[in-house]
Amino acid sequence: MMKALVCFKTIPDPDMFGNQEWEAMDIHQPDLSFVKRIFNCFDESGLEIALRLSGRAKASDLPFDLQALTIDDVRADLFLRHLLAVQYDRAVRIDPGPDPDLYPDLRFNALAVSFLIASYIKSLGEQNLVILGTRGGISDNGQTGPLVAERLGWPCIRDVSEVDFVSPHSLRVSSRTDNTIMTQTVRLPLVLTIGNAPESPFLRVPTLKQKLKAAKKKIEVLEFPDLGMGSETDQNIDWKTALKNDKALTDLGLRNRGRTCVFVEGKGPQEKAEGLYKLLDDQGLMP
Amino acid sequence: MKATVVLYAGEPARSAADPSLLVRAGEINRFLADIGPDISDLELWLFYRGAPPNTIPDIMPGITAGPARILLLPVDLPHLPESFLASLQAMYRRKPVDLMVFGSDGLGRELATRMAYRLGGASCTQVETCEFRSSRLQVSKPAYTHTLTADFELGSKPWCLSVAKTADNPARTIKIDRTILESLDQDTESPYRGEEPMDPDPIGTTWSTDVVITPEVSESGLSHAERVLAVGQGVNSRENMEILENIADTLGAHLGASRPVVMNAWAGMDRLIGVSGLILSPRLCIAAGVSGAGAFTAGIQNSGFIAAINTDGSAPVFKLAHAGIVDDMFAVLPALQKLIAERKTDPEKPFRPVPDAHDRENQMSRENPKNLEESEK
Repeated sequence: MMKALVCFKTIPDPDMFGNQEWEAMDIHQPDLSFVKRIFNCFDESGLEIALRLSGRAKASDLPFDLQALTIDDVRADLFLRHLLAVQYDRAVRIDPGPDPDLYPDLRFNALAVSFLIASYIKSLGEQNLVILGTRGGISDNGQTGPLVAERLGWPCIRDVSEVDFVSPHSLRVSSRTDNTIMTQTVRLPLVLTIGNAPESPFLRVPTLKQKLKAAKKKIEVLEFPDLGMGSETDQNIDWKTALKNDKALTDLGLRNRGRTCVFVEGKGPQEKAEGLYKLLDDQGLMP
Repeated sequence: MKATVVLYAGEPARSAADPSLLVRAGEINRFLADIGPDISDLELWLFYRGAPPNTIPDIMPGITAGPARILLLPVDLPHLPESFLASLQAMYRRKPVDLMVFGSDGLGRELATRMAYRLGGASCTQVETCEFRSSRLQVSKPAYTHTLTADFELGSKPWCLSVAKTADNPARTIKIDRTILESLDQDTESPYRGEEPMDPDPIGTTWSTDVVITPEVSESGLSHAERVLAVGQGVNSRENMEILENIADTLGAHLGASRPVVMNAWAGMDRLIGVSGLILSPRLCIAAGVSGAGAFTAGIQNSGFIAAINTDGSAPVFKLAHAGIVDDMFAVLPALQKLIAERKTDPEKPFRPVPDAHDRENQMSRENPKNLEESEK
């Protein structure tokens, strides 16, 4: 049986705030809670790719277990509810707990995030497919997928664009990376990181009926110490050590974009176009 | 500090070096310039498939006389990162280094991450600058969708870094100095001669079969364009992209697009600009219907001159632009197209009186006074 887990995160919509908002806040501890959150775009493609895969398997009467996982606070429940509505079998959230200061900052800590994901997968036992976005908006590390693969001892394919079903134990995977398109048949277990996927760019939208049905489903919530509990070794985990980063954040600053913009004015588009033409022509930039 | 640069030369690289290899090497040169004097010992570990190359990218020109040593490492299955990892682990055991620098491509990011994990070191990807101070390495990389820069101090060695993508500044190609090759190792084909066979990678390579690899051919001509018309979600439809293609032709520009435009299938993948696509440095970029989110603007910020058109005067793209128009792109661009066409047929045709450009200096800081002064003349 194919058992797929899609890991995702939600991020503040980068189109909804600019430098002015950044300049008005403490950059080192930015409070972006006022900004609408969206699925990280690569994760969103991964969530849709997994749904299509699940659909194809189920159409062939092959069992397929599909679950979604995020590491976040209660604000992510809206997104998990969406996933339950579009036919995810399980929606799981790893919560930092009531006192997040007990644990290290996860924003730039792919080692810790991969540790939590791998611990969760190990706790499931029979998982054989993990899908993640190739990178995320805040840290943009692109490291979590390869690190999950390393921790599990599984292969990893990066920048995946399409996935098709071959058998309960194998997939046909296409990836676009480093100026090549590669297609290969791969045996599970496997980690896939999703890159630009023009065939599955957006997550489907649930119907009202699906939303109502999903409202009754349960979102499973775990806290860090819940992961791997049950074995003597795991009970003795020193979480601060386990989640330790390999790099210490020392500063955050606005990128240097302090350019002066000359606004070309005019009564209408025609006059503005003429102004722009003259401006560009004076600089020798017109054809 | 002992350092090594790790690159994959492609297959086979007997005569002309792969252009993308030279671009990656150029990015690494730019990066290494920050710490060149701190590097006491530099090696280039160049993977290849098939026949060994007889030319290599010139690493660190002007800082050292070139790589102190060059190692050519064969790789049979370059599509599998595990093929590189096993060799790199064996190489590291034999020749431990403080710093391993990888390319900006997907392979470089993945190898940097996995090598650091396997060797108990520290890794960072998309590194733009670094500084070596009191035996510690500080690095900077973009964060928060390229709006902020994050600085880090790295933990344990080896430090495994992949550099950030930058606009093209390819490295030179140089012929391999055989004396440098042979002075390191009598066997230039395989660094493992006389040693125990290297351990197979624990993950192995048998999980992948029926592999088909095709080069992704770009027909857009965007990567080296002198003028670019870069469009965002304001495009709204595939039909509008066809209109814009026509306008770009008149402008003598190549048409590029933001990720949402490409993901909506309004434009092909070869037109994708930004962190997940092309990083460009044209002389002129007209950014139309683009909000200015960092992941996109990273692809155009190295343009010589940026003109932005957007209906929202507070859009972040104006912070990046040299000139801006607050209006509908589908009104301004056709008017601009018409003007260019008219000037082509009658270069002497006078303009109507053109209003002065108004400077909103009070809203924005000054970075490029030259363009402003010229535009105000």
